Amino acid sequence: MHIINREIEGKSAGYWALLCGLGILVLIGLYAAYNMEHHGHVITGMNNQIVWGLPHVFAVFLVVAASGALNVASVAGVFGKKAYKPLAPLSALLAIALLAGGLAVLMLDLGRADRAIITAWEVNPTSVFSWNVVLYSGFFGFTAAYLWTMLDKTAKPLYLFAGYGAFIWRLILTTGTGLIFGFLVARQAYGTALLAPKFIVFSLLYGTAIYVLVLMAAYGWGQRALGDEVLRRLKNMLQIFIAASFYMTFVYHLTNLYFAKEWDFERFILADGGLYTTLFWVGQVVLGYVVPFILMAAPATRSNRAVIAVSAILIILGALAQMYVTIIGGQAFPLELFPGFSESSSFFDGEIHAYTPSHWEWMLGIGGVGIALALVVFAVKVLRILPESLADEVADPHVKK
Amino acid sequence: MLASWLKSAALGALLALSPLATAGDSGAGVPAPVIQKGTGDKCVADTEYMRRNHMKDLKHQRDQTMHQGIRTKQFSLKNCIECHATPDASGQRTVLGKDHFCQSCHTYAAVKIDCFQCHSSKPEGNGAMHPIVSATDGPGSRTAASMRHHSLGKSPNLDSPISVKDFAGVLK
Amino acid sequence: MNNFEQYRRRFLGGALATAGAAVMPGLVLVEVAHSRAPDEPVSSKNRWGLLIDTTKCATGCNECVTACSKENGWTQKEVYSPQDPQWIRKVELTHNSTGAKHSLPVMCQHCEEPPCVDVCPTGASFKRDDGIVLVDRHICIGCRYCMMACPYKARSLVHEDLNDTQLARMPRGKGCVESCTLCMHKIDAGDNTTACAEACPEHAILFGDLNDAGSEIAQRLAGHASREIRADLGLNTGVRYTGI
Repeated sequence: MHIINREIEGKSAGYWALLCGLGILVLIGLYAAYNMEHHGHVITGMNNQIVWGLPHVFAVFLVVAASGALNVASVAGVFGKKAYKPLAPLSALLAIALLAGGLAVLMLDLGRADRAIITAWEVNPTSVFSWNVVLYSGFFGFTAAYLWTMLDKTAKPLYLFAGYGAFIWRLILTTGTGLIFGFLVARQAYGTALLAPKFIVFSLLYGTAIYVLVLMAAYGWGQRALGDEVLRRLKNMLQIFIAASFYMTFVYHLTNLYFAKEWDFERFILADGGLYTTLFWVGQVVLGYVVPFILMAAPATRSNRAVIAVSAILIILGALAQMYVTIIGGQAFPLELFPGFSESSSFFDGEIHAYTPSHWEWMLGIGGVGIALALVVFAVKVLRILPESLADEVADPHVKK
Repeated sequence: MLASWLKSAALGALLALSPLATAGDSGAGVPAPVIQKGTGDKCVADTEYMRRNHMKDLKHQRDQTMHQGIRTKQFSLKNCIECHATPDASGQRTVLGKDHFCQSCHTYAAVKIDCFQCHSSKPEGNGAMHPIVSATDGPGSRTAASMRHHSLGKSPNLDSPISVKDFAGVLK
Repeated sequence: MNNFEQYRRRFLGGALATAGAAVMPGLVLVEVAHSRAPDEPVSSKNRWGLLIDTTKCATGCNECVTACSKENGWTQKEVYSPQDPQWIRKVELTHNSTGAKHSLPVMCQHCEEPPCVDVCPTGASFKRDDGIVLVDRHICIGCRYCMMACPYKARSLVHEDLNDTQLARMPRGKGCVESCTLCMHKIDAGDNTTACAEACPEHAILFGDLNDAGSEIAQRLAGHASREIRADLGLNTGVRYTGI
């Protein structure tokens, strides 16, 4: 059966309520940004020890998830899997939207957000941030082009080029995001190129989880048919990505545990770190990996749609916990200026740095999520993103007719 | 696209400045700037030149001082403040405030400056007098043209149109 | 000024200096002896640095911190909030196994290969030709990447409005990152010292030109063992310590 993409009607009260709700989130985020700009970062919980806080947890999560959200489209366009083709436009759209949300948070958190445009002409070739200005723009460009070639038949000749371009670019993009931390030699939590592949694997998991949730919401609320086959494939993908993420996390900590100089840091994250230890074990590992993996593998629950949705939500919560541990836990552990000595000073040398995010930071972070989702909700109304039906007999190329 | 948009915004700001070029034209409805006389005999360059070019000279000097440690006085912001600061109600000399040199004119021209978000608006030795143009700088009727080649290193290209970069962070 | 222009100038400057040195060695020597004129750019002939003798530095003494705060206009406090900027702080060390105690000031180490400069997206973090690492607040966007990258925790973000309390000689502002400037305004004025070095009652802080073999700092470094903080990172700091 031929697959037809169509705009959603978007006239129901529910649609407008959703769009308004997301709009309010965006306004909340902008209000927080205005206040942070007006009063300075003094109103946040961030300080000269924890210099990147909750906004960066949200921003890096969204940026990483953005590149992963493109995964479904890449499976269709680059690896030629027919079953994923009808799913591809939403995948590309979600990638663009998530990146926009993440970047907005990153930009609005700047000490001088009014000068963010300076990064466009004062380029420092050695700065990973400077590379990222190019990487983000390129990702927008390639992914938008890819989306265009999927939606417009006249652009078909560019389909493969845009698809491959977006795929390669997303690998470079997430490498760049990982290396923001990976190239920080000074801090024990970072300073390893392992963070680049680790972030790529994480991105596949986070992006696909968000994709699953958005897809289920769009088809549930839009009253369109969504077959089990589509969800089964996505669920299998999530399981593979959980296993890979677990592996990367394992190797990262094993590497650190092998180096005596990293023991104190590992003891902090894995055993003595209070909130960070809890977030790591309970949030990232148990809720983020173990529970959803079991739920999606166990014969009793694996074909239940609600279970897939719950698993995706757990994966996202685990993802936020992971970002919190990586970004804030990594800074909370003090820099070691003089190995072998215990240090103390008025500048909090040698002590675990405290951090409590203020409500402004929550508001800004949630505003970024609002931007991403509002873009999606708006775009599916004005563009032919979603197939009219993803029922098994339509979407599954192997279905017996 | 964004750059060109910003450029037109900058040009708009330039148009807003244009009443200054035809000095004496009191904009309809907008109170004319209060220009308090600074200390000393004359400015570091003639008035016509300063009105049109002070922002370029300041920006040029700013980069030279910051990156090369060049501390010539002629176009240093500190030097401007030294002379143009006038006492406010409490007797503190400053260039900011409704009737003070920098702010009154910039309010009139509707150009927001962010110099004083970081720089002090007060002279260093409050009330201390400094010669405006030292003997070595050369007194007398130097024209704008000769001023252009005075400062060391590459002079700013004063004939070039103001680019969007000149306004980075200045306009809000 | 864009990066390219800086590189070009540095290259041309270097080429001219080399040519000058080849033709008139005597003249170059005379130039080194003079302090720089206001219109003369800084050059890599100099590399300013500090040598800190920790054996003379006393626990509880904060004279260098007080002097820095007065000179540069940041606020010294009895108890700091984690958001307060501190350009220099006294660090107390106790050796984990021997119990040996040291007290020493830590500020920007003015690395030859500064990580803050590497990571800065706009080039606001930069190293002056004479080795001083600075923040150009005119183009700093307040991203704090440099603070993440600095191994010495030398940098602070200004978290709140300073309400025009800045000193004329040291601009500072909300939303920008700042740190020790090695008192560059004093160096530019030919003072040949820093506020902390001047203030130390024990003369534990020695300021000087690491590139001038005849300077006291170069001679002391040549004659005595000294160390850099985190020497393992290979950053070649301009601030060195002896006695630890």
